[in-house]
Amino acid sequence: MRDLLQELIDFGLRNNADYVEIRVQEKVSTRIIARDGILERVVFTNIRGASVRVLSNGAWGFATTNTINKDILIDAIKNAISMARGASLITRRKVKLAEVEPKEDKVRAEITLDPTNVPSEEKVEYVMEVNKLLLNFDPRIKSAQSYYSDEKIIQTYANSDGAFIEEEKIYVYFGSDATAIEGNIRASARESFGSTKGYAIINENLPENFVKILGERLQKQLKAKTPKGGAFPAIIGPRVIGLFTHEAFGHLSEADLAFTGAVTIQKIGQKVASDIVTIIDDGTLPNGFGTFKYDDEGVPTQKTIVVKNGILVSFLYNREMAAAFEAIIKQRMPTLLEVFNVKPTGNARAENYRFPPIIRMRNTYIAPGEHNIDELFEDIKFGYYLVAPLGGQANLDGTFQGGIQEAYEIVNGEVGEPVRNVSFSGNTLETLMKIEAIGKDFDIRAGTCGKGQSAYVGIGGPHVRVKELILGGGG
Amino acid sequence: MGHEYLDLLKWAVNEALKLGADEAEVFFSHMRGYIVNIEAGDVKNPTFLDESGVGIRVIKDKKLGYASINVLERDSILAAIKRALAMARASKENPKWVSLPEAEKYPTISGVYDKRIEKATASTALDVAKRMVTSVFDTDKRAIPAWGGTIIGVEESVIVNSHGVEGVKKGTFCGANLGVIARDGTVTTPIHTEFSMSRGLYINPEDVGKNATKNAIQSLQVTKIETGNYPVIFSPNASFMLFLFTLIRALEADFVQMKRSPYAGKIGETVMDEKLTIIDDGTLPGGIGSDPFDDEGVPSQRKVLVDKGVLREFLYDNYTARIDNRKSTGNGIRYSWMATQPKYELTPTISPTNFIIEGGDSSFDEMISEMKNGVYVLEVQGAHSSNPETGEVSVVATPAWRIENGEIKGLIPGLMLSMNIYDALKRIDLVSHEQKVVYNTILPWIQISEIRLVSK
Repeated sequence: MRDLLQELIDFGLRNNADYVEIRVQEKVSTRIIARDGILERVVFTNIRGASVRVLSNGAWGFATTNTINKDILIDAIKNAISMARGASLITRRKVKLAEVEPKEDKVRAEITLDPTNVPSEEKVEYVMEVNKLLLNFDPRIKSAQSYYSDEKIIQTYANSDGAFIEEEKIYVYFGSDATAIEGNIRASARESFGSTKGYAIINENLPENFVKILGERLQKQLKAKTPKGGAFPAIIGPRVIGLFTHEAFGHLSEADLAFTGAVTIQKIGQKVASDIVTIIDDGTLPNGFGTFKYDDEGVPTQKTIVVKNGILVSFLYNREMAAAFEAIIKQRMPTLLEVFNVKPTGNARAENYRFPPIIRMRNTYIAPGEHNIDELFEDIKFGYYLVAPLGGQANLDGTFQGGIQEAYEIVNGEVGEPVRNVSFSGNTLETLMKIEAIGKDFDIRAGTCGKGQSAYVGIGGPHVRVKELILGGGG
Repeated sequence: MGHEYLDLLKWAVNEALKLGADEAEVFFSHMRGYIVNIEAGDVKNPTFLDESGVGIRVIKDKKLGYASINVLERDSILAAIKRALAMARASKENPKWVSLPEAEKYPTISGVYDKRIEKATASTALDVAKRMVTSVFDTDKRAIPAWGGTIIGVEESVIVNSHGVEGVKKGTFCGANLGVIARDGTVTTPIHTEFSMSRGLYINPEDVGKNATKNAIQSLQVTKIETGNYPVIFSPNASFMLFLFTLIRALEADFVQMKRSPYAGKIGETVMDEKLTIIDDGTLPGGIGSDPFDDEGVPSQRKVLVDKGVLREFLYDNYTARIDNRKSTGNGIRYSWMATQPKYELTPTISPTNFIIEGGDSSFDEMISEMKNGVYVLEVQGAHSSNPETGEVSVVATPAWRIENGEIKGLIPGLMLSMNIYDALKRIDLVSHEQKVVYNTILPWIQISEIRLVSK
């Protein structure tokens, strides 16, 4: 394989490419879905493919195919070069790449049990057991879906700078959703987990424990009241603050979106959060769903501090955006280079060989603080405690929205009655400024992020107290 | 090509039967095309994509197994068939399973294939992207084309099953989309999205750029509104996002059979305002979701789902249809959001073909000019956290403009909108006669009364 890739790279360099990179991938996966006690789908997938990306005259060209042979790949390189040259005639900005030391490595996934060695029957049993336990948990639970998936990906990466990396990645994910009905009240909830540690994550999550979390969430929702709309003090639990950190802030810290005009472009080296807030995007977190060793440009991953004690100190970069920001900052505000990172951070990721790498988050979180969780609640007379999210979305102008599936009132410093159909929204930077205390605790979960392509990420953090959060809901 | 794969697929179905399957289905898909992205005001990443593979479904003793593979040698396909059978063995009996679809005649659909796209090169896609970007800067210097792109491609599918189903379909598509923000001083607007999509080379990139820019520039003017209940006009873009996660799901038979849909058991009842008629039409000439047959070989058809507010029909695939002892409506689609996964890798699930809300007797201009005090919602954010079972929706309406005495007063930043969408659909004030193609939907502008808006 290495000889073939080198031959292809040399061909590209001889034919007007200034940079060539090739990714060859093989993926094996199993997906299982059960609904209302019936096993509906057991799906096995085995696919492979390759892509070539070239830089010619300052523009990218990218071609992908699932036929891996020399002639087809030579055609793909020709095609990519011709597209790059076509693009170079109309692009306004010439692409330059930040220098990185080319790596040679072979990385095996650090796992305790390879899911591809676990019999499908065993996976089916797990899915069916959770599904049946859910339906039997409470007679008011009328419907339940359970889904399992695993993926094993082996990628060979080579580029014309001399990088040659083979990396294996293994993902295991499980989730369920269920509906409960009592009279006119309908409640629905979902729960999931995932890891890069292998099938061990399934063995660690006993069906009865998983079902209890989801079942009790539904029971609480059935008796929950609707919240008052307006601004209230709030304690945001790890999973909701994780969603907020990822959706509301994380995307704004992606260098391509900042470059496009996200509000963060005006905040380089400036205060964007209260002094106690440090935000990290970490590709090294053990077992994290967004953990890997090299990104899809062959750059080693790292633990990137994006906000340090309230100050914006780095964006998340690929090689192109790192070079672009270095040039801009050198020219316009060189003193900022002392406080603001412009080196590649290893955030270039592609969903699979069919996509060019773009800037994506990894495991993104607010660093834990110094308070016990109880202390955070202490002097809140009335507020809300947000525990489990549904989903969220943010805009480049800094507005965000998040939906919540499990939340409680806080009354005189104590967790009170459950509330349902809560959502929260606001301006990201204003909200980050209102964080007044951070817990010592830490929890992070598996998630999937969409940005034209999907990526596995980790979402979490500690408990956080916000002076004021705008809550909607009640319908 | 297509037909050259028919023999391979027939062979594969036979092999599956020989290896012990009671029923077998083999689906082939091939996608070839060009994608060009727009990022930060520039044309980016011209991409050539060429991907093909097969998806196999086998049934043995009412146990189903699936496998897909993208190496099209006979040895590899045989290995995938064995994998599918192993998956079936690992599976559990599905007592609801009846059978795969039977052979039927397929309609001829016009306007879904354009030879010019088959012959197009990267320069066609680059040109469309460049024209979109240029039209933004030409329209207003304060506007930035933040993201978007264009795609042109040919997709071909072939299906064979052991009940005699044999089908070949080929279609072309072309799409352009663009998100524009405007900046003036310290004011940054939210993203304003526009798109144009077609089965032929019939898109207008200049209009996409110009319209998105005009809206973004309008949003530089900022205003406020008091928290309260207002009449709201929803653009087709906003309705699409809201319906995708609620109304459309509620009309899908699997959701109905799980008793999660609020419309379960309500066929023949009035479930929404009589101004609303909803149709799913897989045969619509030139429709984005039109095809002679769905992805399990059932002929496409036109069906009225809601007739003047009265619920008439749900969307069925073969599996859910057999459970209700009826025929599929041709909505078994191998669907992925934004088509980021090739069809062969997916299993059929229920999805609309062309989801159409019929136009009404108002017009967009009339809606604006006759509004005393209300809001026009162009797009919504956070619709995917809506609850399709209860209809609870809580989103940020952004961009959203305040309308006072028939005039646009400006953008209301961070406006929260909450409603029960199934109740709201009973309170329709006006439906425009103009409709817009938004992905595989065709939607009018809709005005709904008494929508709860929470402002900062």
